[in-house]
Amino acid sequence: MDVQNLSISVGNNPIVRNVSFSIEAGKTLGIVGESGCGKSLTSLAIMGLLEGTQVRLTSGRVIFEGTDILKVSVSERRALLGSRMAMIFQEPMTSLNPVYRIGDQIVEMILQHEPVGRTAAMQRAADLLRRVRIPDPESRLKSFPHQLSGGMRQRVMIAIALASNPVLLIADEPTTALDVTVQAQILDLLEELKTESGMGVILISHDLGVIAQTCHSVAVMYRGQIVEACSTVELFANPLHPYTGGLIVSIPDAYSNVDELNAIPGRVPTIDERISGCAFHPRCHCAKDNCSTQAPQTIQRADHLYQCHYPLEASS
Amino acid sequence: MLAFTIKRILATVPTLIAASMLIFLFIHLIPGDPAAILLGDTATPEEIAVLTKQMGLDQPVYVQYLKWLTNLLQGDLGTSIFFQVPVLSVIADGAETSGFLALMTMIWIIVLGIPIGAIAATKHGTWIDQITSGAAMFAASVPTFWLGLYLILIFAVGLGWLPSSGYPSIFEEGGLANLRYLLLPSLTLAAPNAALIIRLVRASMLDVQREDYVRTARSKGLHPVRVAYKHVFRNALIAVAAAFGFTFAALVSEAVVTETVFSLPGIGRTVVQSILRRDYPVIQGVILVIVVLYMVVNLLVDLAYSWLDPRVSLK
Amino acid sequence: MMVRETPILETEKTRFLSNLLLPFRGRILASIGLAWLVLMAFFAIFAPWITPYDPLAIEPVARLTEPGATHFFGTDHFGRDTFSRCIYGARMALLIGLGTVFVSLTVGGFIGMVSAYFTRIGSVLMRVVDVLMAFPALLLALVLMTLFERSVINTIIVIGIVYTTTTARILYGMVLKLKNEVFVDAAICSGVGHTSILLRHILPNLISPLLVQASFIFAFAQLQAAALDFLGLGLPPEIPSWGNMLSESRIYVTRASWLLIYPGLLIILSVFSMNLVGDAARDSLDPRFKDDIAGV
Repeated sequence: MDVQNLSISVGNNPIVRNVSFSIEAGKTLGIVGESGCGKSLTSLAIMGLLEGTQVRLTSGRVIFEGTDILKVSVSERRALLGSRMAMIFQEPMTSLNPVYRIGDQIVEMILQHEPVGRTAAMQRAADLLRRVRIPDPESRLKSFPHQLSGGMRQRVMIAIALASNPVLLIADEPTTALDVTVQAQILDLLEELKTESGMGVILISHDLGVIAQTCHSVAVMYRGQIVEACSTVELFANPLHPYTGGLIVSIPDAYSNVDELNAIPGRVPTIDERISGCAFHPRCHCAKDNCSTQAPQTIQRADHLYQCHYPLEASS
Repeated sequence: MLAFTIKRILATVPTLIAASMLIFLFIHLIPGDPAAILLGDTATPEEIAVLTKQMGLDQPVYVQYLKWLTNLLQGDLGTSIFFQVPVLSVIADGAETSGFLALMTMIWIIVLGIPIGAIAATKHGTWIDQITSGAAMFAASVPTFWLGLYLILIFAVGLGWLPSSGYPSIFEEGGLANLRYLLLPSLTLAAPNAALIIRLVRASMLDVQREDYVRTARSKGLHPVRVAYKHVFRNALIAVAAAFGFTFAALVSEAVVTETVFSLPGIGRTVVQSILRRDYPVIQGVILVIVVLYMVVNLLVDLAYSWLDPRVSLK
Repeated sequence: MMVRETPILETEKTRFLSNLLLPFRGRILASIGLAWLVLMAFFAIFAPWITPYDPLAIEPVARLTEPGATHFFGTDHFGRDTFSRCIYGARMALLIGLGTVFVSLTVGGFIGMVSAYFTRIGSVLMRVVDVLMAFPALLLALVLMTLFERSVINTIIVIGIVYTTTTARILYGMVLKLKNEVFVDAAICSGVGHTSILLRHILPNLISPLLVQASFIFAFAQLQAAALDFLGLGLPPEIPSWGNMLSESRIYVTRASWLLIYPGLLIILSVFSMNLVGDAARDSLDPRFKDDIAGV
């Protein structure tokens, strides 16, 4: 899938500007950034889940299997949802409908996209639960969401997403609301399932540690723009944007003696604040005069994209 | 489920006892001698003395209460002063009218309230939504008796389509066609309550629409109508079911007025007439029956609630 | 209420006023409702100077006169001027509404706050409220009216009692929520007394929701009072209230429909306006309390 120059705004405030990235089958793309930088909106826009809100797509193309899915009709779009592309969300506690049994919620997805009978679908649902490593799937099908733990619910969400073998899975902060030990299990599960099925995965997270574990390539977002994009290895070895540098340095290192956390100074500006020049300059330690007046262009160095006048050099 | 039901029934017992005490004490709150009030202005001192003895009014209050309660449990609600017949049979006389009126009103409320509210919610922000919510609030602002009088003026006096008052039993001549006598009263009674249900359905559907699981449903590629019906409406129904107990209370209050406007021989009009005639045993009896009914309705609402929402029965 | 940044020069008074009017920004219907209520209040206060006739003056020659130049809204079966009686009716409506709001908010507010704050007394008090709430509103009012004589003050007390239970229940819920907030813990930790916590830390947060609730109680009270009047158990019959006017003219409506229409429309428009105002005000409330309000 190829996302080109996607822009989103609420009213007259642009929230996401000219975001472009692409993702191949069998690969995982990480999108990282602080909360409020527009990464979730981007994923909702790709899925077409923004209708009925005040959020509007202002420009861009999303090429999926050869067609621009932002241009196809609403019903064609719906046919893609769930069957070719699926999504799992941040809040497993609230993302399942509390009044229906787990089995019915998985079956609903299967029946929507495949001409099978209910019994067969229920059988498939049990298989799916087994695939996401839920013990005793037959009896779990009859459970209500509130009878399961957060990690279990997220596994159910993954089972629903996988029901029709999508080629693209968008995971929006899939582990943020979970305990650390459960987080690792879910990430491992996603990794295994991706290898099994060969689908592409977009993993959205604010946690570089999570990205480092699972992704092939990374896009770093700040205030609605991708400020740096490259392979995961390259990003950690050789960050060019000062924001990325700050994110990497702020990961607490278990082996060094930490007296002080290295945080990036300042905060993410709110969407209605207008910032001239580079959006990051008020918080940047390498900012010079022209950073506040002139917005940096996207520069490509080998396979490494970045937006900065004064990139960090390989030495750091 | 059974344990929940039993627990819920037991929980109403203290409230029921307290309410019965209040209803019993009510006759003692009236300034003056209850026996004299019961017998009216023309009573002689001898008659008052006899009734005092007969009613046990010379005994301590708690003895009187226990005696009243024992009679109550045996189905004896006392005797009407005005009619000189058991209170229970006075209530039974009005039961058919009030029962059918309530039934027809409930049908109106459900048939009008729920779909209109749901449509307003799915068309949120459009002129359809604005007009329905505005109209619903307007309907909730109309006094019941005024609406009743106005409907009589239009449909009974003006157009002559429907009878303006009274209700012969369906067991008398006319049979089920006699229910047409209840058409205008039930519409009158339903209007403000349907309006409340419209606003409630709309508000709770809008709340549910913002839930994460609705987004999940949409991400499954479901048709919007299916999302609205299976996911949004089904969950919104939980809040609506909870409000039906409240609706019953409003219904009883307004039924008193409606039955008076349309001169229907129901329990509501009996209450008003008994109050005007100071027929205290009937007032006590009817109020008690209504309070018990109200509690039964609330019990049913709670059971419906736990059936609609699987999370409840666990608590 | 919404917090907005305001220039420092603005005085407290103007800010209070603009805050009060904030819910009406962009809401045409609610603004019209507010204007109607202001007009009704004006009529109520200046009734003797506005009315062309004495509302009680009987004029047998002019019985059941149709609306026209001499009598705007026509006359009733005693020849009394309907327009003048309607204007005086606004007085009764205002009196009943304000009286009911006062009784229910003070008594109900006190019971609710005390019950939520001192839980031991609270469990008993709220049980009493529960029992009273087991009686449908109008029925409770009807039964209470049999204990009293028909008078303005008794009508206010009776309707007030009915809404006292609702107010107590609502306030109970809201205070329970606030009790668990950090600022209350902070006040307790700094050694502030119970009364002071209730009055200086909890109550100020409840002013806006209480005002919203008051507008709905005002509206409900009109409907209840009208129903009591109609059943002959409300205000004394000689008092020109909208409900009494409808009650008396009931048997003449086929001949004189104006007797039904004018007082009825006045009740409807006033209740509708109050509901619109309450609805607009509720929308600008702190979302924590929105669901607590019992309104239309």
